[in-house]
Amino acid sequence: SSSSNNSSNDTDEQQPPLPSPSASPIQSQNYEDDELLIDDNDEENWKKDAFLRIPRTEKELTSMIETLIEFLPPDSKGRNALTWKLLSQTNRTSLSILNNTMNKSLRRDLISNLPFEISSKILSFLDFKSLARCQQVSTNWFKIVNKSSNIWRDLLISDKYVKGEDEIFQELSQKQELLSHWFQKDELIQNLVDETNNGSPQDLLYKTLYKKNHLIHKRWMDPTYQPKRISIKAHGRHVITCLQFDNEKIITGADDNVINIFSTATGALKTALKGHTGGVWALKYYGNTLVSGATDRTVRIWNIKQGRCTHVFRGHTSTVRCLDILTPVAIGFSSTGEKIMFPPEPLLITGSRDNNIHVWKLPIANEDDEDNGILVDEAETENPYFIKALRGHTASVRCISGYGNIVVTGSYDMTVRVWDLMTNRCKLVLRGHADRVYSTVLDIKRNRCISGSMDSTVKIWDLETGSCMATLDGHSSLVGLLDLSDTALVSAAADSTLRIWNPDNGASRFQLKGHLGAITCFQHDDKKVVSGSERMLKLWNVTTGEFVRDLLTDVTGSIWQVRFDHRRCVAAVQHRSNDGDETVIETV
Amino acid sequence: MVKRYVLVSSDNEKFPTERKVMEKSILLKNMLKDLFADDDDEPIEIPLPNVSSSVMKFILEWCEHYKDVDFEDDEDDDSKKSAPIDEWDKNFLNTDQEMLYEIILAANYMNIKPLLNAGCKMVAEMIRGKSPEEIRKTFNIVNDFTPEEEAAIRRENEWAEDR
Repeated sequence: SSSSNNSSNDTDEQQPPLPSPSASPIQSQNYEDDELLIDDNDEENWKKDAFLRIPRTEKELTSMIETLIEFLPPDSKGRNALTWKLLSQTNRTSLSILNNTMNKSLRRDLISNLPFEISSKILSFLDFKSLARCQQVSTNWFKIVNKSSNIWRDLLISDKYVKGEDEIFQELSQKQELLSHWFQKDELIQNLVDETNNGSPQDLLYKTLYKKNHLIHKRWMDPTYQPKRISIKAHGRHVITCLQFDNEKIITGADDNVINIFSTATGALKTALKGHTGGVWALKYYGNTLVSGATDRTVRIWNIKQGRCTHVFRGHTSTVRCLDILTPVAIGFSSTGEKIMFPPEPLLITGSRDNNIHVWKLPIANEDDEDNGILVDEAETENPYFIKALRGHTASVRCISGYGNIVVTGSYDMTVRVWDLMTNRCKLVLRGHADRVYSTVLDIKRNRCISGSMDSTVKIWDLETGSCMATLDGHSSLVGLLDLSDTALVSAAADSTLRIWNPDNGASRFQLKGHLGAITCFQHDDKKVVSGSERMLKLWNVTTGEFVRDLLTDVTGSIWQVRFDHRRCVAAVQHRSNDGDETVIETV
Repeated sequence: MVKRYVLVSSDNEKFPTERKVMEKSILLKNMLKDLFADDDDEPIEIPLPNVSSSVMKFILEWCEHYKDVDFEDDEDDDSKKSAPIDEWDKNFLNTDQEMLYEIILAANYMNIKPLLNAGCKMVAEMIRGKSPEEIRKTFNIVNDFTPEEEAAIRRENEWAEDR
């Protein structure tokens, strides 16, 4: 125990030293309460002496009592009784001084003294700032905070810097890079850390990962921070209709029939995928497989690395407007407790202006597939990948969202339909919107889906019963875009505002005002919203509803698309100067 | 209610206790499951050699207060983590650090999760928002870093401080 007496306290001299807080009853079991067994003859004689001498001064009396007290074992009833007796005859002022001193001497280093599991639990109730300060208290505290690596892991999740363990795992796959970038090389700290855990850097990793995410987030939210920016001219003067990106590549589809693949780091055009004979209006990639839908009524499958089209899916009789890829997920447990995975292999769902939805097996394009130059292009009847056409909508299918065996589609026929891919049947028809449905999202966690419509409302539906649980009013025109994160539902409308809702009960939280035209695109996570409209790209704080900054200040045309991940924001922007369009890529 | 069970503290003090109160402690609850009640009304003594009588008094007062409350099992979800300490618990645990220390240890040993959590939160509150020096003062800790080490850690943790 590192408890020490407060030697600076001037009351010490007048009072007997108080027992150290960590004193344990070492002797108590050796004594019976009422009799003193003292074998030592010398002590016995000394005691006799003490009794024989009659004290004549107060000092002598005090000294005698002090001596005699030594014969009462600590923690014995006798000693306690005596203490009480003395205390009960002490005046209030002395008691007050005593009280003060006692409280101080009863302080102890709780974190170091308690078992590690408990200390770790205590620390788990703290925020990152307090934890960082705890590390600076003493070497022992430094070690304990470092050893509690799960605290930083939990904080990463509860502070919404990552979505779950998988993401942490992924981030930690490049340990060396993480440490060299975000951990200050310092021998002294290294030594302290090494001393703590025999060279296991696990603890350091979680904390460093937290630090990295925290700093990046701080930069996002800092209006004065000047991010690195890369601008790329692309697609001539055409409209970019869809965009997806990751650390390696940015893929854009446009109404010039072409799909472009750029390097995220340099902005260089890697590949231009040509084949569609109409404007590309939907695309999505999964691993190395890219899927696109176009006004030429076809769906094309591409091998990204090889930059070639591998399949053409025909069957739709009008523009393919939306698509989604469903990957196997656990949708429940069997009677034996095993996970039921669905779909068994990745599926592609496409929605079209022909009112139908097609379900396909997704051909997986591997990087190292032999480039046989064969393009599979077959009519629907012979296509081995075609599974089923889902019929029911009576107008154009505008949006699709799927998960597991559930697919939700929104249509210009004013309904939302819920389909079950186990049976390939329509499970529910959700009626209530008074105009075209433009956007849908699935809320698997709460077993709901949410739709946005031309009737300027957002509706939350129960996927079990099909009833409308809430209608979110507020927007004054078309709600074209919806996005859902763990803690926030965000809608964007043609009325130039965005609204943030509580996804649990649909209560309105904030209205984001600042844009001057219809919101053309946006994305959000649990921390921020990025939204685009004519000439503006804005960043908002999702938890406070406050405007943070303009991400681009020199835009002269529309913002067609915007996506961000935790490091970058990529926007497809129309520059209207000399009538040329540009894609601007901004790296934060 | 007949108090058939008697808890015995480390210093041999006896605490007749009703079952409902004792069952706040999962340790005792499990112990009682394995005890077959005999027909005779002999009180059953249960020794708790890790708990002194002064701490036992505290613990039993807590259990008595909560005897009619059912605590859910899922203690570790986020909402509970951020929930503030119950006012009653806060007053109850507003004691000196030595007693708080003993209570936390006993709650851990006797497996009384809500009390352990409340105790841990109390300690966390003593730390929250304080500077390292203030924390040292609060817990009577000696700063054993070399000035160089201290500076190095402060630099490394600079990110966590507001600009």
